[in-house]
Amino acid sequence: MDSFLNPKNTAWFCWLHQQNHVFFRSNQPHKFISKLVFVLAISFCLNPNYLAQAGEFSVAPMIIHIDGETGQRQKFEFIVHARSAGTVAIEVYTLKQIHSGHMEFFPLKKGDTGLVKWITLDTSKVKLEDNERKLVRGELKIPRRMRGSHLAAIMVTEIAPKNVRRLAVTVRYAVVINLKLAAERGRLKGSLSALKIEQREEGNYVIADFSNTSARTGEVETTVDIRDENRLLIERISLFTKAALQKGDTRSRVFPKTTVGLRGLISRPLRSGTLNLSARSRFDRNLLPRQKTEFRFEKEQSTVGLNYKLEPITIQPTSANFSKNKFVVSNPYKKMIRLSFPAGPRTGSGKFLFRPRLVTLEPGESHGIMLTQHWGNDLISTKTFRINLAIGHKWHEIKLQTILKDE
Amino acid sequence: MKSKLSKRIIQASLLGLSVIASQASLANGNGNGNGSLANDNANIDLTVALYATISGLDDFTMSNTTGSNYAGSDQFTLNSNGQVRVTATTTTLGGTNVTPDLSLDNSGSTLDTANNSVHSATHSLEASTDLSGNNSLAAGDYSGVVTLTVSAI
Repeated sequence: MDSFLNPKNTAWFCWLHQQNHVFFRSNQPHKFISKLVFVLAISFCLNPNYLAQAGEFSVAPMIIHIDGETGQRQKFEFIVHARSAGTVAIEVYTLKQIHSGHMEFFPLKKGDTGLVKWITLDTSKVKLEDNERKLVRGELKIPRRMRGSHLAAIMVTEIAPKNVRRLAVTVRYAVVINLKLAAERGRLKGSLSALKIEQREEGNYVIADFSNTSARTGEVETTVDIRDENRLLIERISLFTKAALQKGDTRSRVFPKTTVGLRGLISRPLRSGTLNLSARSRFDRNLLPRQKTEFRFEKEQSTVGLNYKLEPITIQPTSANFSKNKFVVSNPYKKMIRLSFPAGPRTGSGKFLFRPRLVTLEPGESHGIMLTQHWGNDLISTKTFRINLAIGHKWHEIKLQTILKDE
Repeated sequence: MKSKLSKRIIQASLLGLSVIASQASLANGNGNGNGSLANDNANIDLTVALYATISGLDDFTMSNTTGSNYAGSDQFTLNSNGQVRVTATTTTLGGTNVTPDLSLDNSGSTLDTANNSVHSATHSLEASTDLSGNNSLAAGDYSGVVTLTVSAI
């Protein structure tokens, strides 16, 4: 088993701790001796090769949480470790959340305010020999009357010679400074807007914007009920930022004074008509007012998937005006497909039933479907059923016809 | 003289009493009075710093694949002891308005490692561009810079 806690590394790890707990949240009680024993025990028990196999350089920690007070000076520090000799640039960057929920880093420019201007670093460049570690120190000078949560990044970028003939690849590491001020007060405030359905090639989505109007970071959870004209629930889906979806988070993080886009994929087929969307959001522990909107959905015609054909079914009703037919559906595509068959009236004449109603087929798979029809006292007639077919996540409509055996 | 003596007597008796009290306390197991050894618990807590490192990544060349398509790639190893995000960005190719399309593991320009787990795996960085709309581009070498940003959020 590899370990990043080899005895060598433990030395700086523990030394750092002594130097003033960058690795430990500053509001946690210190039991240093116990921790030291624990760290050493782990370090000596595990294989000490991990960092030796690591990359050109690494940075630790990559996120520094600081619980600060206004009007205070707060020190922080991090380690840069080089596997091979080189030079790295150390620069302060601003950090902004974009609409997708991802964070973007921008070099400091004139007119920038906030946390980036409160940071001073002891160096802007570090030269390292093979397998050398160097400590970079910084200090925050928090002005008075500040509150809320603040973010900035210290970008550690390798300085490599310019390559004029190839695509040069540069690796940089962001040490994120997450400052929470003790003066942080008040309820988190946020609001949901622009709730609607969007049709994309890969499927239908419920989308909305969520704005965090407060001074601190929060996590939003939004669920949307989609109901048809008769108020029947079609589907309940959860909305996330793209960033949260990619990370597999169950909630979407929204930074102060930021608007992010939320979306959720609709897995059920939708028919043209009026749809009622009702969204409920929870921002951290605060339940926000329900957001309701009526949406006119016009199904876009798509030619993709129309080459999928179901052979007509030949029916031969019994004397009781009843027929039962089994047919097979298969997936000729390289993607998973889903087939959703309609629900017929359960009573009276003209009853029909597909069993199962929803089938998921992996590429090359087949599945049998049973169609039962009952005409009662009505005249036996053929019928065209509208079947929904999803290739990937996009739903299409295909037809299934029945023909009488004598025809 | 008499008062000095009495002070000393008081001091000596206080000292004696404190010694007796401490002995009694030890004998009784921190004074809990049950005569047995007392257990004491100390909580150990350790916060391991998040780190990540990329290795094995080198500059690469985009070469002609089919028609006017150019592509190139390189592999790298990403090690991390928690969730990190790797984002690929690029400049335009020197002196042109051509910006290569980037992808990590052939799936978008960002890569997230799993939450609460150690990650050690090989990944690929791909760059490609279609020069069919750039007939005025003179033959020669064009370079650009691809940046991989590793961050905790």
